Order: sequence, then C-alpha cells, then structure tokens
Amino acid sequence: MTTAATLDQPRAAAAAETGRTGAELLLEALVREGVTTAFGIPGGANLPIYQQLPRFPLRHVLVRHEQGAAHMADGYARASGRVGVCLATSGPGALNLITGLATAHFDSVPVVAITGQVAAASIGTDSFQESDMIGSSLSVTKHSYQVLDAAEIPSVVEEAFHIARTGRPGAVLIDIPKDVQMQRVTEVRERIRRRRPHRAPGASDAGLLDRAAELLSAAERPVILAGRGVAISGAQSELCRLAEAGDIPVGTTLLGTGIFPNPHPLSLGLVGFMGTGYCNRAVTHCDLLLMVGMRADDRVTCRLDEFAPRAEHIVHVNIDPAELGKTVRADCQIVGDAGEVLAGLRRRMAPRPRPAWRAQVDVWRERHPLRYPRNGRLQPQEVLAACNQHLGADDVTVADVGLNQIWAALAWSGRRPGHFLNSGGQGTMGFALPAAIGAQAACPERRVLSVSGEGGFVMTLQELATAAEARLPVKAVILNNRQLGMVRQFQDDFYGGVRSQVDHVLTPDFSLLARAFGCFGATVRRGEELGPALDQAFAHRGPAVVDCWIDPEANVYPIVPLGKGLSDFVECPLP
Amino acid sequence: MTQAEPERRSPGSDGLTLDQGRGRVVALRVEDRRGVLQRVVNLLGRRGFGIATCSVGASSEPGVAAISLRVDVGAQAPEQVKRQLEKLIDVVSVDDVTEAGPVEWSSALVRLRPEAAERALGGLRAPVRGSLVRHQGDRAVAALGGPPEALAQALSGLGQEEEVEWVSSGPLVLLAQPAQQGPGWAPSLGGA
Repeated sequence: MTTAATLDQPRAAAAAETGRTGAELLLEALVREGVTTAFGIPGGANLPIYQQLPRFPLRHVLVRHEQGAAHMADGYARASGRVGVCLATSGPGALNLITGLATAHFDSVPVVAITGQVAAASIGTDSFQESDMIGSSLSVTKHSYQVLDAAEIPSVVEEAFHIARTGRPGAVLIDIPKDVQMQRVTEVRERIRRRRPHRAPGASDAGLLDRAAELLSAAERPVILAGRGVAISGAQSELCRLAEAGDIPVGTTLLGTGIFPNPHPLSLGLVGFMGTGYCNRAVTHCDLLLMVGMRADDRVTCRLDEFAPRAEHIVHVNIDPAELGKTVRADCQIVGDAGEVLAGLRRRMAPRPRPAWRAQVDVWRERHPLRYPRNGRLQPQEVLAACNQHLGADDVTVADVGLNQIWAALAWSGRRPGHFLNSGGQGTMGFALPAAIGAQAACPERRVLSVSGEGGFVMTLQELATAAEARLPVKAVILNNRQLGMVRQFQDDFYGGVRSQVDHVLTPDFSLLARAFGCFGATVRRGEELGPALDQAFAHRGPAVVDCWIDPEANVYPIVPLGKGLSDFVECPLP
Repeated sequence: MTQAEPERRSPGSDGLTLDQGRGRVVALRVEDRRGVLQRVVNLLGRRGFGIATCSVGASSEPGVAAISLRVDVGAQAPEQVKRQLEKLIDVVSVDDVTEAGPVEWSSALVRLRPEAAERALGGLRAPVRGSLVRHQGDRAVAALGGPPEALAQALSGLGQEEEVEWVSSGPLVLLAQPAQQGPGWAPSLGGA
C-alpha cells in the first residue's frame, strides 16, 4: 500500500498541475470580456493574480492609492463607455476603493472591482488585513460576489460584467480569497440563477407612450429636463429631434452636461441648485415637465413642494423603475431606455411651434444671463475660457467637486456627451485628477483636462506620479482660491457669514510639487500669465499642472438658497 | 401638480411595530445563497423602511428561499418597497400582496405552568390553534399558530397567567391564488 501510494504521488501532482488556477481563470475571463486596461495596486491577498498578470494582454496602471484606482476605472468607463476595472488587495486596499465605487455607482457608471481576500478558512477570524467587503460594499454596488470555488470564477466574471454594463449601469465587486486565486481546477462550473440578472427592458408600454405624447402635444408651456441616462443610451440626437419638433426648451442635469447642444435656441443649460436662472424659471412656469434619464435628486429639485408647481402633468422616464416616484411623484411614469422612449414619443407627437412660450423663455434668458464680476482679479471663467481654446470637439474635460465643478459645467461649450465628466451624485472631491488619468488611458488620442480646486486636488494628487509613470499626459488646471470655496460661499450666504475652517493658509507650491512628481508645472497669478502657461502645459508631452490663483471671493451664481424653491435663485450682484 | 415635501420620519418606523396605513406585506422569493438576507435587510434599512416582521425559510422550489416581510414604508411611496427590492440581483421575485388579502400565519411558543397551559389551550378561539409540545418539570411549552393579529390577541390574553413567557414569529405569507402581474410592470424590468 505504501509503495502504491508513493508511486501515485507524482501522477496526482501532475494532474493537479494540468488545471488552471483561479488567478489564471480570472485574467482569462477579463480578457474575454474585452478588458484591455486595469488600474490597481498589488498586496498580500492578490499576489497570485499579479503573479499571472504579466502573461496576459492587459495594460495594468499602477496607481498610488486605491481610491485613485476606482476613480480611474470610473473615468475610463465614462469616457469610453466600456467597463472600467480596478484591483486591490484585502483590508485597507479594498476598503480604499469604496469611495470610488460609490462615486461610480451613484452616477450609473459600469465599474468592476476585483479585491483580494484572506484565505477562505481565515474569513471571519479578524485575520491580518481582513475586511468584510461584501458588507462594506453593499450600499455602493449593484451586486457583489465572494467566490469560494475557483471553478465558478469564469461565470462570476461574465455575470458581473453583464450586470455592470446592462440596464442602469453600476459598480460590481468580486472578492476572491487568496487560496481560491491559487486553487487549481480542471473544470469550470456555471452558477445557477433563476432570474436572468439583467434583461434589456422590453418595449415601453405603448399605452403610456400614447398618453405621454398626448400630454406633450397638448401642453402650452412644456419643458424637457434630461440627464446622464440620455448619454448612456446614446440618445442625444433623438433628444434634439424631439425638442426641435415640439419647440420644447431643454435643461440638463450636471451629469447631463453636453447631451444637448449649448448654445442652441432651445437650450436652457443647467437646472437646479446652481442652474441657470432661465432654466429654473422655465421649470417653475411650465405646464408640462418631461424628465428623461435622470433621477431628480435634491440638487435638481431644491424644495420639492415648489418644484414645477404649475405643471399639470409630469412625465418621468427612467430605465430604473425605482427612480420613478421616489422623489418627484410623476403622474406618468415610463420605464425604458431613454432613446427608445424619446423616439417613441416623437413618432406619436405632432410637430408644433410654440412661439409664445419660446418668446417667454427668451425674455428670462435675457433677464437672467450668466454673469461674473470683473474686478481686475483673475476670474475662474477667464481661466476656463482660455482652457477651452486648447480643447477640440473630441477632447475631454473632467471637473472635480465644488465651485470649480459648477464653473466648469457652466463654461463648458462642448456638444458631446461623455466629454464632460464629473461626480454628480456623490460629489466626491479628489475625483478629477484620477478620473482624468483613467479617461486619458481610454482615449490616448484626445486631450484630457482636469479642473479642480486646490482643496480637491490635494486629496488625490499623489496620482500625478501614476500619470507621469504611465505616460498619461493629462493637463490639470487648479482654480486655486486658497480656501474651500463652496463651503466658504455657503458660510457667507447661508450660515451667518461665519467663516470657519475654510482657509488654506498654507497651500503648497503646486508648480514645484508637479515637477517633483515628474510633471510640468506652472503658476499663474495674473491674467497675462495665463495664456503662456496654458500654451506650455498643452505643448508639453507629459502631464502638466497649471496652478491658477483666482479671485478668492469668486462665487457661483445663480444659486438657490438652502431650503428654498427653484425660482428663489439669487444672482450675481451687479457692480 | 405640487410635489409633497416628505414628512419627517416617525420614530415608530424604526421599531418592530407597523404603523397602520404605511405597512406593506411583501412576499419575496430569493436565491438560496449565503448573504441574501443581509442584502435584503441592508437595502430596507438603507432606504429608510422599517422592518416590522421578517420570516425566512425554504420554499417549495429547490434553491429558492422565501422571505415574508411586513415593512413600514415611512414617508416613501408605497411602491418603492417592491421597486427597490427588485433591484437586488439575488431576488427572484417580489410580490407586494398588501391589497391582495394574503394568508398570513404566525407561530408562537409559550412557556407556562402545565395547568395554565391547559387553561390557555382550552381557551383558544379559532382561527388560533395550539397544542402542548413539551412537558418538563413544572413547566410546559405550548405551540400556538394563527393569523398575526388574532395570535397577538391570544398572547396578550395570557397576561393574567403567572410566570408566562412567550416568543412569536413574524407571519409567513402566501397568496391563496398565484399572483397576477399588475398592468404596466413586467417583472423583467427589475431595475436592470
């Protein structure tokens, strides 16, 4: 017996060697899904994946912090429409992804995160670098998996990508214990599922479409509000056709920036809290509101009981039924893809000019123009206008969060969705630079501009090293007001003028810092320095930082005071 | 149309009580998979729904577990419970059966002195039923079952007995007829 067992050992070992490891199955599955780029950091619990990585045709961008990896995957996905992928080890590595996953998920961006986990037998024992990634990611992902058998990895990956990219896109997390990454298997196994996780939504209810088209045709003062769902659906031309056929003004959400041409006679620009005065007036006075591919969160509606108060009917279109009736209780709720519904509505709606309503909107447009003070100090709008001169129609702008985000959105003159990116739902400071790096990795032929305040920039600036090392030549413009500007404006306007903990008394020399990271750096303190600095930055072959010292008192206007309705917006004081 | 500003959430929605009018009775079929209950409970908690009762167990379909819930929707639109739950990938089906007159059945175990147990069982009125399941030393344990409100009434009637202790389950829910799909809502649209 002993002899036979001894003789069998090499054969058993050879059999085990013939299979593939969980790590190999994972990487094969990623390649099968069309993944070409992934962002991540290796660590103790994902080393088996990184051991196999060099054998696969994948570009791995080594980031400096896992939050950066998640934002890069997010920026990659927003700019390209493909699924972004990020990798992290267990414990702090995986937990560091959470903010980035929440950012992507809230904005319906398809991202798949792959986290290493401690060995299966150690789960639940508080072992070194263990974190409960299923529990921690529950509310910031569409779905999550902990794979306990390598044989299931191919079907889990396939399903995860399907879930991330279909229907309303979102973030999916796959947690794989280290021993499962090393487990050798010779046969893979399908996971059994009773409900297909995601089916394309069927044709929208024809009766509802008839009803909505009827309401739209009959309305005297209709307004369309449109969000990122229109971009995801690729329905911007359909939106334009419907608006032009019905002579209907169109406002967009922050995430919808770029889905409707601006300027355009029917464009209302941004709606909501910091939206244009004329858009907010139009929403307040419309008799019919069509909301498409948007959620209608509090930044859009402001005071809910004063949102579209004269609208006799509200039609709300979203691919996610749970978004219908959640905040705004529309009387006509249509589940469906934005493009299909818009096309269906246009086919059913009689073209109709609405000169009186158009004239009224034009009066508001003239009465409430976007304006900013000219006081001799560098204004953010001047910086953004100068940046826009360096950007072509195909180029990408990524805004951070805060005043800079709204200035950038209001100044953005592009016409294409997927070319102005920002964190709308979560409002994650520090998003712009890593998301821009991700967008640059997705679109090497385009120029990618990152716009931040200095407050957000310092939250993720270590990724300058990633950009320099990976030769991703993003151009980062800092609208530096030496303070947490939006918070300062809130304190000034809504919190009794008490400026509390908003001054950045000591900001680093970003130009020097950029050079320390191997990037080009320049500082702009006066208007005349702006043009040459931007020329140099955009001419530089690598990543560049241009630190622009703007007027520290510059605010965003118009703004709706907290707790007020859309029509109570406050405008920039006239000089 | 004017939008209603959501009311402040009442404290009752956080406890194991069901505010009349805001309660929904929901029957879920879920993939019988580790962590699925965590997903359901997390979602309801995160969305501000109070879980009044929750019963979990097997169903007649292999690989599918059944979860019966009574949920307090708080200030949210009642249909949000179903729409949100349908977004969970591991949820096979969600039926909000509140208006459908479902069969609801709760169970309770009662520990008391044997003579009191006999009194209690003898005093039960239909549809609540019960039987003695164990007699040990100077104590007896009786099992009671019935529609939740009737059972709760029967249990409160035990209050006069000395040294009585009881635990009860949330109701199981089943429609007397298979659920009909409501107009305009294909189950396949579950929040894709």
